Formats: sequence, C-alpha cells, structure tokens
Amino acid sequence: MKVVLVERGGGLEREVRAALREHGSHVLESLPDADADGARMAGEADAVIDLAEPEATSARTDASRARTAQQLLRDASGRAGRYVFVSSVLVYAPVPSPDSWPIQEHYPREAHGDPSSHAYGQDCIDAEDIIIREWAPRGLRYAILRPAVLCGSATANVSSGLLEEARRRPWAAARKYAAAGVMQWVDVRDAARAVVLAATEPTVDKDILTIAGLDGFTGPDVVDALWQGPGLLDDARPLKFDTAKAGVVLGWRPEHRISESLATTGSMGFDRPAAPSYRPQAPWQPDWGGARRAHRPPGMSEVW
Amino acid sequence: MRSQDGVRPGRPSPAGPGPTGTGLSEPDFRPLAVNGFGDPANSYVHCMSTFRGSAYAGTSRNSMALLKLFPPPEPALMDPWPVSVPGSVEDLDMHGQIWRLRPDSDDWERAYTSPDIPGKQGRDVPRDLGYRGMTVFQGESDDEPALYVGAISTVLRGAAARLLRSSDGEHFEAVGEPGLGNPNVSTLRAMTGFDGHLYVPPAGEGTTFNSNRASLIMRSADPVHGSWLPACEPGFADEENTGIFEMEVFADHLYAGTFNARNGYQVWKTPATGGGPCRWTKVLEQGAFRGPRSEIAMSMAAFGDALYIGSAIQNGGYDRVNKVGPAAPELVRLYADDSWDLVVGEPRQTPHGWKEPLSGIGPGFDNELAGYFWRMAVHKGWLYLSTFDGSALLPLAGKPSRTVRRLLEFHGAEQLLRMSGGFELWRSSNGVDWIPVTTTGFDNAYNYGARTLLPTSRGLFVGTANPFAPDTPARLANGWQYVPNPRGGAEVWLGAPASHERRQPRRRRSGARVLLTGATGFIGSRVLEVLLGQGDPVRILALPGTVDGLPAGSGIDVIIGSLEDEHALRRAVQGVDTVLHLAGLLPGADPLDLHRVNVQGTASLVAACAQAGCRRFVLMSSTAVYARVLERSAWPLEEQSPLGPRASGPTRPYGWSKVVAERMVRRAASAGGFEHVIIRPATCYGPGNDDSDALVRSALAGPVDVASRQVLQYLQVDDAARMVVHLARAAADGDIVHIAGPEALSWPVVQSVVRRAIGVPAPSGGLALERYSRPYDLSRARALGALPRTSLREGLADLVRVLREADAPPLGRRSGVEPAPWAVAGDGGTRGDRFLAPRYPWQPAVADAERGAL
Repeated sequence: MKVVLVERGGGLEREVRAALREHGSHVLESLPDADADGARMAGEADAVIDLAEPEATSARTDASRARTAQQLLRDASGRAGRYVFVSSVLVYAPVPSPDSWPIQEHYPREAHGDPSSHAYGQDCIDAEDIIIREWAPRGLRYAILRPAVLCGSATANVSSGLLEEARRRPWAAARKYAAAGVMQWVDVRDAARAVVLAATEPTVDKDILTIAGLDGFTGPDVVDALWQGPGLLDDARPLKFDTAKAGVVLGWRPEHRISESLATTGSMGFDRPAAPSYRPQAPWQPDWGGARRAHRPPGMSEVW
Repeated sequence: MRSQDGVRPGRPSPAGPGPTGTGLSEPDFRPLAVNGFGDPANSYVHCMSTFRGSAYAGTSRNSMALLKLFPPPEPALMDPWPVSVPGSVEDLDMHGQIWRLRPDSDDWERAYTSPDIPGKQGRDVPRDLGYRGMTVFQGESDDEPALYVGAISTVLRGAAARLLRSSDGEHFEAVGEPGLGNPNVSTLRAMTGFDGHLYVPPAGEGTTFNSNRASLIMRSADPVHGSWLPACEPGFADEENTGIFEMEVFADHLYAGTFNARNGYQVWKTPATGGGPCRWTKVLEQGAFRGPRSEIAMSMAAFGDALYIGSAIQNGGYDRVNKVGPAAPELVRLYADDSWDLVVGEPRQTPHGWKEPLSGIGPGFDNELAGYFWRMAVHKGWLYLSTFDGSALLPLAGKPSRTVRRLLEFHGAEQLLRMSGGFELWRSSNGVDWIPVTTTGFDNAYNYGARTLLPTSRGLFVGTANPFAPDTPARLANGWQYVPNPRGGAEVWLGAPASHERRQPRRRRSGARVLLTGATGFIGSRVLEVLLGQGDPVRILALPGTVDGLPAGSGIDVIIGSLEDEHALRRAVQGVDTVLHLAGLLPGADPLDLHRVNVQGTASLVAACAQAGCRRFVLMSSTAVYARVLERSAWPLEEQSPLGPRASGPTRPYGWSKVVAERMVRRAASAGGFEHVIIRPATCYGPGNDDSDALVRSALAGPVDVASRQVLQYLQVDDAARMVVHLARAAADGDIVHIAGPEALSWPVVQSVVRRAIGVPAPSGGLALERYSRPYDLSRARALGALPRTSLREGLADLVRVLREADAPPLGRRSGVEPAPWAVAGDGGTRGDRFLAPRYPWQPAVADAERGAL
C-alpha cells in the first residue's frame, strides 16, 4: 500500500511510520503540509494520512488542517484512495456529567478549553466538516479518528507536561489538572495502530472513530500514581469515551494500560510518601463514592 | 334459516367446537375484489351470503355523494367533502348491484342490477339504490332454500324497499309488497330465519336509513306470497326504540337489538312459538347500562355459550342529530340465563353489579376513532369482530371533536392516516382474549369499515365499506384538489390459511441449493425447518459440536467449520445458488469478536461466494443498525432511515457490526456480480430462547411500570423464519427490508398481557395497541408479500403457555438481532437484569441458591 503522510511533527508520526513498515506499506512522501506538489502525490496514493497532535501544533491555530483538507479535496479527489484524518476528542462539546458518558461519535461538537485548545478543536471541526460535506458525496472513503491525549515515550504534550509538573510540584500539578476532569489517555503506539488500520482495513468507508485508552483517571490520580505507583491509575474512574465503534469497524482496541504507558516515559519510580492534601476537588466534580471500581479484564468495560 | 347447499355456512352452534388452527392473520387474506368490483361507485359491500355454492354480495352506491345531496339534519362538517359531488343525484349511477363469485373462482360476475322505474321528472331512475340484507331461507312456498335480498329503496320517488328472491341464483324477482306493506320503509337490513319464519326489521324511513317510527319486526312464513305480519309491538312498546337493528338466533331464542338514542340500546328475546305470538322479554337495556353512548345494538353473534353484542353510535360514532357521542363501541356477552359480561368497554357500576371488561380492553379496542363494532362472525372456532374507523375522514374534519383535535394536534392527520387508517378486524378463541388481525383496513385507509363478514368453508369473506371514490381530495400546492383515488371503492377479501403465498410468485429455481449459516441458532433453526418443509436441498455451515439437534434423515448437507475457516467456506459455497447468512455473534459480545465474526466472517463468506459464482447472498442484519431507533420522533423508521446505532449498552457495537457487515456485502456484491438482499429483523421472541424467557420474567417482576414509554414491535420467531425465506426469494437484487411484529405494544401493556396469560393480577384496562407510534414501517416487507402473522399479544400468550408446559429453564439460545428492551438504554424502568422475577408463578419456591441460577 502506498501512503502519503501529512505530518506536523510529534511522536505519533514516528509510531505511525513504524506501524506502516510493519504492515508492509510504503510511505511515498511525508509532507509538512498539503501543498500543491503534495496533493499531486496524494493522488497516486492508496491512502493519505493527515497526522497532527494538538501540542505539536499548538502554536499554529491558523486553520491549517482545514486548508489541507480543502487542498486535498481540490487536487486529489477522485484519485486518493482514502483519507485518514487524525482529529481530536477536543472537537466534542464538554460533557461534564458522567451520567452522559461514555461520549460517542455522534455527540455534539463544540470547540472549548483554553485558547489554544479551542483554536485547535475548531480547526479540526472545520476540517472534519470539509471532509464530511465534500468528500463523502464524491464517493471517497475517509476515516476521521478522534484520539484522546496521546501518552508514551514518544509524546511531548499535555501528558508529558503533567508528568513533569507532577514530579516537581505535585500540589500545584494536582490542583492545575483537576479542572480537566476525567481523562482517558491513549498510548501513542495504540493510536498509531489505529491510524494504520484506518488506512488499510477494507471495512472502513466513511467512519468517525473515537480512539482512547483503557483507563479513566484525573490529574490528581496521575499525581497519586506518580508517588504511589502507576497501577493506581488502572480503572480509576468511569470511562469518558466510547471506543466500541473503533473496535467493531477496525478491530482495534488499546493494548496498553495507562500504567504501562507511563512506565515508558521514565516518569515513574519515585518512592516518596503520598501527600493527600494536594488533591483538590473541582467544584463540578461529582461524588465518585470514594471507591475505585473493581478491576475489570482489559477492555471489558461497561461500554460493552 | 333451514339449510344451505354448496358452500357450507360457518354459523356457529352456541356450544360449538373450540378453535381450529391458529386463526386467521393478515397474511392469510387476499383481495378478491377491489375498486367496487371494478365500479368504484360501489361504496359498501352491504351484505353477503352463500347460495348454491356461490358467494353473493350486495352493494350500495355513491354513499358519500348521497350524504352530501341528502344530508341529515346535523351533517358532519367536512371541508372539502370526501368525494366530488355532482349537482344532482340524477348524475350518479345509483343502480344497486348483486355480484356473484362462482365456486373455486376468483372472478366476480354481476348477477343482478337494479332495474329502472319511471321517475318523477319523467326520466327513468333506478328502482334499488343498493342491497342491504341477504339470507338463505326456505319458506312455505319455497321448494328449496332460496336467496332473499333486502333492498335500499328510492323512497322519495314513492318506491319503498322491496324484497328480492332467487331460487337459482341467476334470476331475481321481487316478492311481497314493497316495504313489507309500509310505503315509507327505505331499507331492509337484518334478515333472519327462525321458527319457520323469515324475520325482517325495516331499518329506515324516508331518507333515513337507520331509524324509523314504526320500529317493527315483520315476519312471514311464506315470503313468496308476502304474508308479512308484525312480530312485536312498535319499539317493543318503548317509543324511544326507533329501530330494530340486528337479530340473531341463540339458545333457541331469537334475539333482537334496538336503536335507542335516548337511553341506549335494548336487547329482547323470544322463544320459538310455532307461529303463535312472539313472547318478547327484555334482557338488556340502557346500552348495557352505559346509556346512549351505546346507542345501537349493531352486531350480534352466538359464540360458545353466549351471545356477543357489539354497540355503535350512528354516523360513525358521533350522532349529531341526537347529540350522542363521540364514543367508541363496546362489546358485551349475554348468556342464556340473561346474565351478562362486559367484554370490551368501560368499567362501571350497573344494577347487576360492578362490570369490568373481561378482556382488559377499553371501548373500541382502545381506539377512540372506532365508531362501530360493525360485524361479527364465527369462523373455524374463532369469533371475528370488525370495526368502523373514521381516520380517513380526519384530514377533512371541519369541526373535529375534542378527541379528534387532540389526536390531530399530537400526531398530525397524515400520521394518523398512515399508521392507523382503515377498519380493524380482531379475533378471539374464547371471547375474552382478543388478537388484532388488521388495524389498517388491510393496508387501505379508505376501507373505513368492514361491513360484512361471511364465514364459509372456503374461508372468511370480508366485505368493506369504502366510499372514497371515484376521486378524493388531495392537498396539492394550490390547495385541495380532487384526484382519482386508485384505492377507492368497496373491496372483498378472503381469509384462508396460506392465502399470502399466492400473492407473490416465487422466484425459485428448482433444485437450487441453499447454504444456511447459523442454522443451529434460535432463528436459523426455524429457517432450516421452513427450507426443509419446502423441499429445498439445504447445506448448512455449522460449528463443531452444534449439529446434534438437527432433524434426523432430513438430508441436510452439513459442512463443519467456522466463518474463519476459509477451506470450510470454500466447500460450503460450492454449487450453491443462494446463501442465507444468519450466523453471527449477538449483542453483548466483545467488539473485537464482533469485528472478527460479524464483519470479517461476513467478508470472508461473500468473498467465497464471489469466487464460487453464487447467485444470491442474503444477509441477516438487524434493526439495531438504525441511528434513531429509540427516538419516537423518528418513527416509524424506514429502510432509508439513517444508520449508526447510538444507544449505549450492547446494542451499539452489535449494531455497528451489522452496519459494517452490510457495507461489506454491498461492496462485494457490486464487485463480484452476485445479487444481494439485506434483511433487518427486529427483536425476535419465542420458545427456546433465553431473552424470551427473560422477557416474560421481567414482565412479571414488580408492579406494572405504567410510566414506561418503551414500545416493542417484536417479531415471533416462526414468523421471522417464514418471512426471511420468503424475502430471500421475493426481494429484488439490492433490496433492504426490515421486518418486525405486526403491531406495537408499550412495555406496561406487555407486562399486563403476560400477567393475564399467566393468570396473575394485572391492572384493569391499559392493553391498548400503540396505534400511532410504531418503531418500524413495514411497507417494504408488505409490498414484497412478507407479513408477520403473530401479534405480540398472541405470541406472548403462546410463549407463556410453552414455558408453563415445559416448566423448565429455557434452552439457552439467543435471538441475536436486537437486544431485549430491558437491556436498551432510554428506559431504565425495564432493565431486567435488576428486575427479573425469580421464578414463574407456577413454579414452587426454590432455595436461594437455586433461585440465583434462574
């Protein structure tokens, strides 16, 4: 399979390249953006994979992703075999109540968060709209992947930022990241596998798929885990995102638990006593009942 | 009535045998006449009878136009009028007709047409506008039984209704004096033989066709010579009785029901008196103590040990002349000792004690638009009851009643018409538990009544009232316009088992082999039975260890293997004409397993089919593929409705696996050049299935959840199997068809039905059909001739019976097409995992440990 990568830096690209190699696919071209030459090249590819990570492009809130989609549509439509667009769970409107979880692909979209996240989320929404509105009627296949925060050794984003901060100033980190609520980071290797499956599986047609990890947890949970052991993060909270559709369509499921992912970052291994006082309670945060959920077999969450 | 030859009448004996077979369902009916026998002016099949082996039908004509030209004092306000009306009645062809259906023929021939008589304007006019009563009777001067027909007259021209007689079915002659001696009589309606006499109550006067001042029953032992005498005092000496509407013979008595707009109908009876004066006694009054809302004793039938009486309010359930109604009709049953039960209707206190409807069903079968319980008949041990339903008039209602306004505001006229337009036909084997046969006038909203039911050895004839012809208003861009109505005019349907199989030609290749996957599953095993029953050579692909239960000696070609075994797949499809792919994992399976089996397994099978040159691939998908399956605002879902399941829980990944499987089949069929059909069944239920068992136990647990808004349109598994096999042949290449149960019930109704079937207390009332909000539209399946037979009420009762007889845990098979309601999000009140009843009422209490195993 011949693939064109539109990449903007970040660890995901490295893992996708590795996964493509393993799959036996050939990367025709790797482009920083879809310029005219790139679009022409895309027309010769079996799949165009448009990668990005929010943090890797946080400085670029200039609608570049939407422009890329538009460019590819204009120049490569009818020739490109499939368009795999890596979007983000940032496109989902805030769903603070666990009563409405897990969030599914049809949930409303609304950019939100800090200015950088908001801009990136809106860029992704605009690009998705172009793909959905204009690619689909032309009979082209696409897969829009919406990954949660990527974590693992290859990433340099919010996950690595949190870990770094938690090591240096756990109280401040716990307080700062408590407002983010429940997170469901996905290991970058799992995300890369999903990207390759989305590019290669014949089952894909016009699909939007949420990609997230096996475990739900909060920022303070991460700080806890950093000081008491990463295993505390497994099954810490109810899952926020429903990845069942990716399971059915792609045959994909994350293989790495959050504890394994964090272990690869080198952030773990401290042997210091826990400091309960650094766990703030966000004003919106529901009563979890104080009890961690019983251990489940991997992937057998209440989602399915 | 002494006897009939030819086609045997199905009139019941009071203590007749129990039901024969399962009773007729909608698929058993087929049309024998449409568009008024080819003349849309025939509005009503007003009477039918069998005579000398042939079936006869008398019609009345242009009913809706006549109503406009000769309106009652308080006419119904409709704007525009339901049909276009000429300026004068002379512009209408009003010649009444009698049609004949020869034995074993489906072709009608006109047996008689009203002659002309000189009119007042010097032009010839028809003598009879129609024929309203018909029976076979042998009077003193009849050498053998003769066919007697009561006419509707042109009484304004001075010609009262006459009685026709035919001894050979070919020639009809008038006998006796017009109007049975009363020149004002406009129609002769109920005609009943009893005690050597023909009893006939003139039913109209002047331009009024229902009531009259005389309010008499006339009788004659020799109708040929017209010696008619009153058989009762006028109105049974009650001046409020303004008509005798219906008569029936029961328990050696003749029963007569009256029209009484002030107090409600009365029922009188007389024993045989051998020609002496009748000895009438009143056995029921005041509309069974409901008052004028049971204005007319409209229909009667002797069934079992009781006489069943259906009520009505004239003019479609709203008598504006007498200011009665609107109200839906009731059904009562009267015993030989004059005691009575309320079967369908309003609970109430009566002089005979508190009366609760035995059926648990409210007036009109809980249909507020039902105007009459119009006809009843007993056929093969089942009591059938037909209604009048005014839905077809709703879009034209100029001044709707409060009830109608509420329905219109909530559902809209179009939706009402689409979902529940047309008469209803119900049946019961015991007079108490009622099963709907059709709630849509056999899918024709213009059939606003089933006016005639005729049981015969050939089947049950249903003659309809359909006056919406030749044209009817349609709302176009420039307002209401009259357009030709292709579905207008009276119809005759014949109900006989397996009639539906004649509707559609089979696309079938002799000896063509069928590959069935999933043949050992809940639905697949039934599909296998159907295929084997039709003599098809069948090959199945089955997992190791699952074939022990296959029928011995059936000649099934068994390939052992899974969908992941390419070698087995290649062997399985070799030489196969059609593949029925039912195998798959069910809701609750892991998404990766769903991907592996339901998606990739299907892809592997279609690839093998393409390679082997199979002609047709039929995929068993599911209604779980729809995006808005839980949203009432999106109902009824059609095959084109958006896909992409959204509910949380096991439905979603399962539904997506079917979405992707469909995708793979379409893609492969397009590339591989073979035909494909996708069938999407709703949840199936039936004996031998864990989910069905859980459904019953969930329905039994706790109090009836009256707050639940969950609606079930479940499909009986044998129906599903039959429909799948039918569609596999009848559907066109690329067809997508969803199949579901014939009607929908809310969860609280399901709970009540199950409780009633088991015999545990259930709340009174509340057994209404979900007439206006069904999840699935079955138009496509209907067009292809695939209709479900088994109503959910009946199927649940059967399921309970099987469970009771088995008195054992279920067999452990899953249906696998859509999760059970208690597992579907959106209605937490029915989650069976929390509310399963620990045991059935007939099972003894068990130890807690054992109970947990249940």
